[in-house]
Amino acid sequence: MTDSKQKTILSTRDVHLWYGKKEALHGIDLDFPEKGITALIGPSGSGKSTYLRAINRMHDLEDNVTVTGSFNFNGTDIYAPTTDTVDLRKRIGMVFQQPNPFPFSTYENVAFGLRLAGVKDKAVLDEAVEKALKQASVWDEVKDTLHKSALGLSGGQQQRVSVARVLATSPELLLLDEPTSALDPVSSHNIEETLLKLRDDYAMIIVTHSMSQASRISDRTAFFLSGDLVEVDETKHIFLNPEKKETQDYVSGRFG
Amino acid sequence: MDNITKKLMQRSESTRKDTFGRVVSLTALILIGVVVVAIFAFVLSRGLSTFFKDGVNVKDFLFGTTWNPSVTNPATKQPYVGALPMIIGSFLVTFLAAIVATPFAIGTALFMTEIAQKRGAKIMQPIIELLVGIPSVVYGFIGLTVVVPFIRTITSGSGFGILSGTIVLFVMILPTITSMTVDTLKSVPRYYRESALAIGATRWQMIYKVILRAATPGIMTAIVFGMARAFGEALAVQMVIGNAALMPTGLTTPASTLTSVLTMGIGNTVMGSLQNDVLWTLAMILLLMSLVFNLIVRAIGRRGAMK
Repeated sequence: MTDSKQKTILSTRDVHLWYGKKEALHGIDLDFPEKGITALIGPSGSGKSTYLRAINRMHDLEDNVTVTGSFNFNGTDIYAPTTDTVDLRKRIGMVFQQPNPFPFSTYENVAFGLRLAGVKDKAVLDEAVEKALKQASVWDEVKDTLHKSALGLSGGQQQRVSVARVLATSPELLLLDEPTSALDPVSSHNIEETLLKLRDDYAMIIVTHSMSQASRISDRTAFFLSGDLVEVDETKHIFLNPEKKETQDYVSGRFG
Repeated sequence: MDNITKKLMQRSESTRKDTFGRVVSLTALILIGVVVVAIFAFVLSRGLSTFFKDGVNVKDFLFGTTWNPSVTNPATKQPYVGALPMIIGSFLVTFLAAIVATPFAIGTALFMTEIAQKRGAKIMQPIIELLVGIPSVVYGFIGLTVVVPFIRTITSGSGFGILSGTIVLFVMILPTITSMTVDTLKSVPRYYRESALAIGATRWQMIYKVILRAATPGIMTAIVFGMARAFGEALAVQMVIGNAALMPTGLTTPASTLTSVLTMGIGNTVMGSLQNDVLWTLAMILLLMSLVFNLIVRAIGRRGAMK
């Protein structure tokens, strides 16, 4: 699946991040291919979520977070002063840990991003909503209740609607911050199936605490520990014969 | 053995403390309940005697436009007790004040919660709390010495009237609506903000498409609370509204509200006379209206919880 000749969509070099005076990331170099899933694994506090949120500049919402290093996203310097965060976040979609549909109907949730972009034509919206919900494998379950509140759906359905909401705006890169950790096993399985179907068309980065999940769905895996990137390689290498002892200990469950 | 039997038969120390606590709080509850029931019973009995004892027609009272309880209408052999001018006056100042105050309150609340959280918490919060605590007579006095002369210079009238009342009430209910709106906005989950921004919303789009929409039930509740305060306010309104029990013909002509007529008249009438009973009827309307405001708030809360 992974092909070293594949084009790189995002390339980060020497990424440091400080919360106030505390350094949380100590220089991360990481490249992501144009298609496929990269999993970020590591114990709590290892900096994987922090790194993920730096990619679409979610740290901008907090004061006293400093980010340095270079982020080259398809030719765009993410942290350049001239970069428009609104435009950037349209190109880099994000799915959060907690299923979080807005308190509107399912339809309005999925159409939200397009409406922000100024799409008013109902036919275009209808088509995009249906396509996104089908991509997120939730269309059959919600097609009859499209105009009812999305908060009435189950947690797994809500999370897939959240995925559809992001897909509707056709992002180039999808960030997933522990998308299944608040869900039951069946719903988690549904989300994983959805992601597997999308991996031929999208570049995805997923933060996960579940090593079995990383091994099931990802093409490449990066192991974070205490704010450092320990190792990154094809998933089967990381899980079968990693180079570093820390990685071996973590994936075999000896610590963390 | 005897010792154990004794222990089992006796009530323990902690059970007794429990009972004591329950009795104390139950007593407090009953006391408050009795007071509320007594107030309702008293106001209703006095207020209704206008209709039952003095034989005033309910329709004449609610829709009559002439208020002069000491003069008898030769046609009906009943005093002039048409309360419509005051009812309209009360609703008019309440709604106008709410309409004017709401945009300012929402704007201030958004500034405090979304735009400048630190300055909002440090500067605006104490100011709003201060505004809530100012006694209404002070507002009325300022209204009388500042607002009324100002209105007088820009219009031809005396300056007393609905407009002055609206302005004073606007300032009085602004902090109420603002602080409740702030609480509502603060309770909008952070992940609504994050996911709206993450999908490419600008800050303003996030605010008006997601946050305000999620907060609508709470904001409605805040507005109704503000209206309840405006409706029941007596002193400040009475000082600036002109106290002429006439049908309002314009915003700058003297008018009156239920509360202003009550405070003006209650000391000048004899208990048990029709002139006194009819004031109780006005009080009854006030009481019923505050009940209605309460029900509206509860209805909004229930709908908000179901969404």
